[in-house]
Amino acid sequence: MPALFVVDTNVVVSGVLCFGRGAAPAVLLDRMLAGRVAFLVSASLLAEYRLVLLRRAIASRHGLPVSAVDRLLATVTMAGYLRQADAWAGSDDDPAPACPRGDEHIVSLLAREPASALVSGDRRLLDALRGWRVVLTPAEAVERSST
Amino acid sequence: MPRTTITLSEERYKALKEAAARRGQTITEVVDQALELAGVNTLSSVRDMLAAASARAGLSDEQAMEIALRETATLRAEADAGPAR
Repeated sequence: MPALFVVDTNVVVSGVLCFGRGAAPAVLLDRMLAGRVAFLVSASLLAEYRLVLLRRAIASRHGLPVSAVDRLLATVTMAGYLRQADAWAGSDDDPAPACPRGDEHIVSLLAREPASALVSGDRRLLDALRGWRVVLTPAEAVERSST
Repeated sequence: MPRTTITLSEERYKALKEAAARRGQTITEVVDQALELAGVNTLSSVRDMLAAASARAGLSDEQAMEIALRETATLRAEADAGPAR
């Protein structure tokens, strides 16, 4: 079965900042846009992509205007699978993992699709969710989506 | 500019004409705007846009991930301290 990714915000933002140079986040973002990998998004995650891309420290580097960021995110939305991912507290069959505060929207989205895998550059989050879901670094996700 | 023909239901065509009249736009403008908002862009145009953004940023791969991690973590901490997401 093809991998189904939940791509953390740090990967998408890093992918924008180093696009076209062969770095794993950039390769993964390119495959997302091209529809070559399957990935989930939620309203919360898309909003976070947008907010981080428009933060001063990021926007001052990539130089994209708001309209261009929205154009990028519209393309991401069209290529991904949109899921409703409300707050999730776990169930008897699938107990919620202990995750760092602030990452609940990622956990909620992963909870919607037990076969999904988290792709993140955040070691702390990967360690927290390992054993509950498949967790991958960007390089591992690129390798997995190449086969 | 290329021309194309599409087939719409009577209801959709009526809605399209009404939307154009309400906005003071042509049907072409309404359709073009809707396609833009729906993310119907050529892959090459988005790639070109991102390649230019990356060149402007001038960061190494490690620096790009470092700043992305830091800003994402900061946003999450701010959201956690404020109203529920």
